[in-house]
Amino acid sequence: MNTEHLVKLVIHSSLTGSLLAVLILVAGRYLKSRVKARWICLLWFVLLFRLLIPYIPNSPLLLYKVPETININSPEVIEVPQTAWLNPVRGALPEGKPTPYDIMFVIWLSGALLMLFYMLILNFIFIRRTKRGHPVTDAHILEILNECKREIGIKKDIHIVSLGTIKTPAVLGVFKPLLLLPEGVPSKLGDNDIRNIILHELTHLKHNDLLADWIIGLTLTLHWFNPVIWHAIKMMRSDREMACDEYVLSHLKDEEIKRYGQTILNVLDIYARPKAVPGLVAMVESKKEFKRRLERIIVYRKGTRCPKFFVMLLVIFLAGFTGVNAYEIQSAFRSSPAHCMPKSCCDPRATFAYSYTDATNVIEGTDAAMITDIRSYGKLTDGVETFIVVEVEYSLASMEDARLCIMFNNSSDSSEFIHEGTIPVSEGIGKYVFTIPLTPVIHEEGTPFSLQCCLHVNNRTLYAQEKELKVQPRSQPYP
Amino acid sequence: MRKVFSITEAEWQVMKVLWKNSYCHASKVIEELEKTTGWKPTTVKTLLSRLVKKKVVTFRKENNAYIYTPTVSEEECQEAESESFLNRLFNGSCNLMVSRLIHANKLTGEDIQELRLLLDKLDGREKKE
Repeated sequence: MNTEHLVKLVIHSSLTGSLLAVLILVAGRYLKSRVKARWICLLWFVLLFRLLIPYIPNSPLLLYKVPETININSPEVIEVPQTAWLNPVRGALPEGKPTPYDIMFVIWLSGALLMLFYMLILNFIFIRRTKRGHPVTDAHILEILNECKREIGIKKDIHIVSLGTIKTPAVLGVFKPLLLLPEGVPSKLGDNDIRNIILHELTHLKHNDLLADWIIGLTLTLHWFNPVIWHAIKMMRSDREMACDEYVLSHLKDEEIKRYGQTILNVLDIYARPKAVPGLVAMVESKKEFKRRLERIIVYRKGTRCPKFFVMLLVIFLAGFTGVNAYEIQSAFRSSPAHCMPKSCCDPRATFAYSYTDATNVIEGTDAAMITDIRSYGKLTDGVETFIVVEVEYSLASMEDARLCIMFNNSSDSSEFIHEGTIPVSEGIGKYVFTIPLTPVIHEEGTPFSLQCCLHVNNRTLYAQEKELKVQPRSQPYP
Repeated sequence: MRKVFSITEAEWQVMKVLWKNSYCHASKVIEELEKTTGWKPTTVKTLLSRLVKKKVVTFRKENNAYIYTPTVSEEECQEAESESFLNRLFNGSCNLMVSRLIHANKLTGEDIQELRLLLDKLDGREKKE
């Protein structure tokens, strides 16, 4: 693996993730009124999974760059020495000048490490700050805590700490959870409010929201450069908050539901006093979010109908869409720039329509073939043997004397012939991958090495594509 | 005009002892802190002198012993701390690792009133249905 591959991997997974994020945002907007928030969180989980696990390898092929042939018809194969398949073939890496991919990799890595340290350090300092607080030993509050623990079903020991430096109740710590209350909660807020607060925070614990936060943090470390992902994460957190509200509400009686909304406002009122110069954007954002949350609280009805089936279907669809795009992922690793998505075989550019008459009939048909990809394994280096892989999709109307023939010329000197291979085809439609051993040779330094690839089908030249490939000069002196 | 100061974690532990017993002998502070932190007397004395330099603590001499007393209340310290730039930074970014009841705290009093009215309105609307 080199930097180019890594960079492409990151970019590719980030792009797919962005697309997925947009899909989820759109789906979420449609679903939110009909479905419990926790199902939307399931959708977000799919996104996180996709962002963190970018490559589902078909096999460890990547490390060895052994070509993978997709052989639908298994026609006769162009002979490749058997040993060549097993030996990893790598072009010699040029020394000296860093490629643009090297630079991008360094930038990405620095950003990722910075984010990681930033989060770890902040977290560490925050935890230390909690030591400034006073443990809450008020029997009354502890009683409420125990009641709530029983209701939600949490058995872990939870300590309550009163902290002067926070403005909102919070919960902290995956293994030894700590419930943080702003100073003065017992005196300034009523029993009902305290109960709602504790229920809300305990729900976060129950849903493992803190663990999820670490996973989100890791994701942001990897995808720190992608604003779409940042926005998606923000939406994700707000959806999780709503799922938390929902869960608490499911444990409250009807008349207590409105008072839950009031608890939130009471906490805001007492503790979250305005800053001297509030950031205007943040104000608008948070007010919107609060409105949404309050509306959702009021609209909540016990036993809301939730079309589980529909959402599960969506989850499966999204998971499938993101998980198994092996072809696309492989493309990300190709070192030569040529890459075309497979198009339908009947691309008019590469079709040959014919008609002729035999003794009694007019015979018409269309042969089509298209080179869908040309690539090399590893960098091409002068004098180093490697493979060129050409993928061809074809569709033949006439099976009379059907052959696929591929020919390579060095197009800077078109007489220099490199390789020709012919395969008989036995079916009308198919895909074949040619794997051709090749030793590129540069005669003069700086001469580009071009490959001209001609596809003959049934004796007609259907498609000729010229491809200029970069060949690295040898690192050792020429003999 | 509020004093601007920043107190480190270690200094905070010392302050906590002082806030609990407003007039303290150095030896008392050392004794208390040894229980919880195990710091040596020299460490505690260094911290005390740093706090005195920051003017958060003053002292008087009484029969050959120094008595220390804090000049700011705990509440004031907490307040200053929560307004500090660092704290705002933490609260904003620690969002990721700490789950909270409410995330934003930049709403004005009017905003909160507006939200209360919204809550009542929504509730009223619901009741009618």
